[in-house]
Amino acid sequence: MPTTPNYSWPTPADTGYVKNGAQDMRNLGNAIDTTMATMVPKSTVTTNGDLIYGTGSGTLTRLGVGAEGTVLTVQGGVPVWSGAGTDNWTLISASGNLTSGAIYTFSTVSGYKKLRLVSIGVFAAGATYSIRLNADAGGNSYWWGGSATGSPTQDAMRLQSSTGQLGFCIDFRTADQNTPQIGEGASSGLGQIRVGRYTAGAITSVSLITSAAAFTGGNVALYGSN
Amino acid sequence: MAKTDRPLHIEKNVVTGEVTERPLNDEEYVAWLAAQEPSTDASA
Repeated sequence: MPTTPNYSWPTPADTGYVKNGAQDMRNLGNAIDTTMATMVPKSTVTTNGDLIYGTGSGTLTRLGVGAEGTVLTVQGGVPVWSGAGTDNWTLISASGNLTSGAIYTFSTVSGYKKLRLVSIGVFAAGATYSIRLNADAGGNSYWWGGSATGSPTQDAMRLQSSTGQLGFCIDFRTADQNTPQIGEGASSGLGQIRVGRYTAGAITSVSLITSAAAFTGGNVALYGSN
Repeated sequence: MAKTDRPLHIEKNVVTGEVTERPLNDEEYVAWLAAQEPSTDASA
């Protein structure tokens, strides 16, 4: 018996008898019906931007397009649109009130793709401040921001306050090799500061350093995000 | 300045929460002294 080229549906032979026509049509219809049951109906999608994903063997569902700026990610083993690339920052550790020390270091940092160092009212009279990554001994860190770029010998960044009191919020990539990062501006961008390391390898420690003999107040905290 | 009189380096292990204090080591102390000098570089 002849069959169709793609799905091998049975068709009557040219020499077939007319009396078998009903059966031939039934066979063809049943074959088509079987094939169509394996297809995704066009009615599955209803809206511009709809996606279809599998929910199991031979089962599908529709996923409507996400809101503007959202990204496709996975939650609970299924794809979902997630909010605007927002970071879910977790407090890794906080210093408590700084009343001593010229260097405060968060060490043994791991497991995060981004770090955020937040200083609230850190104070050391007449001081300048530095941020150092991985206890860098020279030339492996950089900061870019505003119209100035630099790579201080040891410090990822140096900050100064006319009052001696320091507040900032700076984000780092934990493994950064001087390439543009998501959410960060170019080196000439406005209001953007990038801090990172030229060399490969994760950031495992972050230090806040004062040029004074000791911190005399304020807090510094380290947050992480993936 | 005697090593024991140097400023302190306070380190917090974020995994264990342990906080340790020690005087700056030689490398840190040299860098700390250098930071006392006025900066003339926009990046420093």
